[in-house]
Amino acid sequence: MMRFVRIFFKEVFNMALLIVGVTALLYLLFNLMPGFFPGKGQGVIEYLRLLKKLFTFQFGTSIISGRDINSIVFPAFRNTLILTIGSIFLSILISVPIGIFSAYRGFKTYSWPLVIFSYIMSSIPVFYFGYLVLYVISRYTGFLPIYYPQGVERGNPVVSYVLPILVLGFGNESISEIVRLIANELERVMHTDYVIASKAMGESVLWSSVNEGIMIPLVSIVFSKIPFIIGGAVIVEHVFNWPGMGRLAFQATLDRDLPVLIVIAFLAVLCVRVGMILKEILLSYINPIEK
Amino acid sequence: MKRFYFEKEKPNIEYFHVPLSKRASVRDVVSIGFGLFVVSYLFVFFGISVTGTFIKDPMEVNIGAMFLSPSLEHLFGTDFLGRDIFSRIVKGTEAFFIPGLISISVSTTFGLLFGIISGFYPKYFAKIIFFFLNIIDSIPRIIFILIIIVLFNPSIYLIMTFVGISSIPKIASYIKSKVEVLKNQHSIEAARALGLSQWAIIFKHIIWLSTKPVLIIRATLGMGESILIETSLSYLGIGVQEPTPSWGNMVAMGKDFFFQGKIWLSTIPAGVILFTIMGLYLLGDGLNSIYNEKVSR
Amino acid sequence: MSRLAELKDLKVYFYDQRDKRFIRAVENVGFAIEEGSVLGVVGESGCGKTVTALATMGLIEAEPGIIGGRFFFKAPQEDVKLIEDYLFRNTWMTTGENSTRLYNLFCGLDQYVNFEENPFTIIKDSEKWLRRSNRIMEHIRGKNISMIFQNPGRSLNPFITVGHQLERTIGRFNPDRSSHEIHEMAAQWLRSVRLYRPETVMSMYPRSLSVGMAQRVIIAIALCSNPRLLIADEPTIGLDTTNIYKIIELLETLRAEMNLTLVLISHNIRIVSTIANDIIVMYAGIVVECGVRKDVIRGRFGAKHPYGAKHPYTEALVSSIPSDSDIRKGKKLKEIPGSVRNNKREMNCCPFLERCSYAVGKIRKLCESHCPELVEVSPQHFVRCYLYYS
Repeated sequence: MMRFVRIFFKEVFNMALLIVGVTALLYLLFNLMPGFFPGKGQGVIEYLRLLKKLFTFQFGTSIISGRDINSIVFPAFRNTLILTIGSIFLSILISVPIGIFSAYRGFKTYSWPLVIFSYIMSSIPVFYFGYLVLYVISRYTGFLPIYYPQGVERGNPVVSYVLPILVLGFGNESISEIVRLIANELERVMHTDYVIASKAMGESVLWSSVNEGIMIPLVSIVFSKIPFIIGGAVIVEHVFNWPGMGRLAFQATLDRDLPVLIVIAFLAVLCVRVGMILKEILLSYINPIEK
Repeated sequence: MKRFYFEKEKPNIEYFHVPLSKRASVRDVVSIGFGLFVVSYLFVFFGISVTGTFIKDPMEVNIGAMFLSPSLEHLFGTDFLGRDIFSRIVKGTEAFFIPGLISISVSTTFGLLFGIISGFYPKYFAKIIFFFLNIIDSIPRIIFILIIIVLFNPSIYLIMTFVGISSIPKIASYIKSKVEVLKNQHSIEAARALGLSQWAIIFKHIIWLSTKPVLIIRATLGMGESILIETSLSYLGIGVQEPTPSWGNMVAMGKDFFFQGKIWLSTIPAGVILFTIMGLYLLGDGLNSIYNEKVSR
Repeated sequence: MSRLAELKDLKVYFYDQRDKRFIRAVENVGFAIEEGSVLGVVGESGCGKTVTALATMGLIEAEPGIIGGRFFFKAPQEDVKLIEDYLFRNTWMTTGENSTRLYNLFCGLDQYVNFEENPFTIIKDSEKWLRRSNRIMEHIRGKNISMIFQNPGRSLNPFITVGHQLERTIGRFNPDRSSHEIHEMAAQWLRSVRLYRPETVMSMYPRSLSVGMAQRVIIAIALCSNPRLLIADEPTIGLDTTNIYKIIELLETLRAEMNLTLVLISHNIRIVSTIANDIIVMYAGIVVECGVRKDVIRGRFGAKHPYGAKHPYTEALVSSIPSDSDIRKGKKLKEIPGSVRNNKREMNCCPFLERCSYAVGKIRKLCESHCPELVEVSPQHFVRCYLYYS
């Protein structure tokens, strides 16, 4: 237990350092914007004030558009968070079975279609795929809502999560990478001594002690794909006109609204770093080998 | 009940010389062949569009010939302004070819540089370098680019430079791990080599051994990613602008016509994107598995 | 004593992709095991002992390759019901007084894997064979035949504790017990392999165990399902001498307690001869001598040779390990010149030819012409050498 606490604090410290670094970078960029903010003080004191505002999640009002940042960013952040987590799960759900299947059959002929499918899925441009899904669903079936109910019409927003998660889960680039990783790692682990020994002592071929062996690279790669998925969310939300952080970021870009963008970047970095902490904790739980 | 797999007659009585096909390498050969085909047509298209030797002018507006479906006359049909889609696709390679090359050269050079330095001095330089690299690595790439766009209003070349910068951390950490492994091997050898091997020789050895796989493999995968980013940006409208064709903005323009049944305006550029990126990924993976070939038991 | 298992004509060939030829790992190996006895398999490294053991368990996976032969095993009735769909008719043989049935676990092999030496045609379909054999062997491995490997530290899962692994195995074979009972059974098994502080051992990870402790844990895991046959593949490699004898003694005690049948594979004939009832000597993938222990080690009184009727290789093996009297006398160690050939043997000469000190004169021409057959020099004692052709 002490080990967890130690790792946790070490990672939190790393995260804090990194966030300070990120905000410093953003602050520098912010000040680079030529002549846009008259009277905005420069120097370390202003930076510390900015830091305090960020860390206490009071984002204030945007200078450019005059909107209150907090009220628009937080609901969007929650939506995108759910979208990200959902699509990660979906990607794992698709790619891990394909990887396991092709490893157990030994990369033979009849696993090719699935592997080719995973390559196609990871090369397809996600904007086209999203639009295709949108078109097909709305034209031919018309039962999954393709809009997010807002305002007066308090429909069930949960159902509208389905399509974006589906599109993002299928269409991001990580599927083929995870398939290849699982297949290679599984093949390597299947031939280690302890797996063969446990097979000789009666374990079944399918479920055996390989699980611990492949969990480690899987966890590492899944958590390192979080930035990509957040990036993909920008496009998917644009296609579906879905109120999430990505669409917000895009609108902010069109409006040249830098403070909103910086806040979004800050939240995104926060997500990524928290993901890294989770990854470290999970890894230390599975892997008892201490450095 | 016999089933024949292979029958070969050899008068040699000493050995059993019966070649069976190697399954893994067939797959690799197919992937690499496909990838090389993609690379070659990219070069051809780029060459055509740079020299301007089109069969049909990609910018020529021809209202009378709007919305023609694919035929022998117009290989991929015409779009909503009567322009030939095939020529526009050929010209679209211009939008990502050079920027993609810029991006991969930036990422590989600086990745190599930082990776090798951190590999050789894992205690001092590595910590500092990786602190900064982790900062860059934590920001999702598209958001990074959006910020850059708001700040600098850049051309596509500058955008791609920053894309390259954002890919540096991965390459640097990969090379750092490789260099560390190699360094341990060579340090034992160097201790036995009576101090004759100079630093330069070790440098050359390690750098050569560690960069050979990375350069080509990461370059192809990086090119694929750059294409995807450029087309995504053009789709969103913040990359290449109309009327200059880019595969992304062709998809964007064409998607409104889906409901009218004219799906080829949007599908064909998307299909070309799919084909190209898949070819590059397959090339990278095929090279990877050939280079890192592990002989199974 | 009834017969438990019988192996007939096992052939295992591996295909070398670099040189594009087949390597004969094992050729025409056969033996019979009686219930409750100990069979010793002796030979140098590289002579195919491990491959034989793996082939009987269905663990050979290196493809492409060829497996041929028949392995008859007396399976208990409930397991036979489970695998009956996969067994064709006429794939058993009846033997012994009680006319018990031994089922062929390689059945269907001749449907899938077949080859002919002349004229160099290879026909194989080993993927389907592997899948089919997995389905049959799933019920046999662990429950009826268990195997332990050399290098015990590597046979344990490094990510989980020893106790956890033992409990998993026990839980697989006793699905209806509660976890508390399984924990108790695990502790009981550890005590029965003479690890007297089971609670401490069960909370350790495999990397903190010593080799002797790890080997006992492996034996416990292998035996917790009460198999009928235990194959021990070089269990004593890497241990110091006291530990070697302790492990062998442990195996013997467990055999007496549980009426286990043991196949002990080793390269050290003296260790094997302490507890074995029958001994098989292998060289370069073929059986060169097999018989009861007394005959193999000592030979019969009054035969031609000083040590009795034995294969030259066996004689060299036995005499290369000095006994106490030899050490006291200060005799020089006898070594066997040369090393094992690289298995590209072409069956047209005796494999032991270069290292045999008896292949001189008239016999040598015979030895160079063809590989000898197994000859019965005395009841139940077979030797493969031209010296005993008469």
